[in-house]
Amino acid sequence: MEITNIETIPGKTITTHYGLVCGSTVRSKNAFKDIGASFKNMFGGELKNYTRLLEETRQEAISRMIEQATAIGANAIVNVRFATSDIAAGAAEIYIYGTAVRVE
Amino acid sequence: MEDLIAWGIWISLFVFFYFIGTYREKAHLKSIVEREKALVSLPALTLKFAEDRPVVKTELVMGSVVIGGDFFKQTVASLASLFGMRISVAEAMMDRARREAVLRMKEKAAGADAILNVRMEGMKIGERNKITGIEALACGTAVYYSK
Repeated sequence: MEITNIETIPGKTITTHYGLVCGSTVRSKNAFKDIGASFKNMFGGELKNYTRLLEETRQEAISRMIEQATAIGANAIVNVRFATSDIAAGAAEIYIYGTAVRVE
Repeated sequence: MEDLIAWGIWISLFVFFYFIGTYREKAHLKSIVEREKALVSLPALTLKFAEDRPVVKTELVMGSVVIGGDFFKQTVASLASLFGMRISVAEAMMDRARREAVLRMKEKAAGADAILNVRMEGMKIGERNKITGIEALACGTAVYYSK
């Protein structure tokens, strides 16, 4: 599966468009880990727990999008976009969408 | 007397975290500048098309980081927001987060010739008015030209 965030896959031609595919994940923070984060927050610097959490969440959303694209017979996804939204206090949604295509 | 002690503790915390936060921020900026120099040969472009050369491989790359504010920054920010002032401590934090995200993206694209269509995104982390940290995400399409 080739994924890009531009309209084409450079060096290849798009033969079929399959339409929108997307993947989303909603994750909440771990209240226990958060105690450590709020302590670390006094000192500043990177909050590695949060970085890791968001990275995992994003990977999960991408793999859901890939799953959906594979199911309809696409071999590439172009023009991928990321969106995030706070849905509740301490929870966030990561949404990833793109256009599934077949390239040759 | 008790009030005085409470104020004393608060002010010493303020000063203590000012020095810690400043030290950590400077160390981070120094490492960012060094890594930016090392990665200058891999350009991150906001263009969708750069060179008319045959492409052998493309890949979606991204880098993200969550940077937290320190006690000093949070206090200054909440004071400054009373008067609608410019919050320069937060500006420095945003700058670090974005540059770090771009660097991580570049590090993931090691071996590529360019990164096209780089987009920056951000998210606030924290509840209501409190800013625990900010997330910066950079993503783009890494291209490998045929040699």
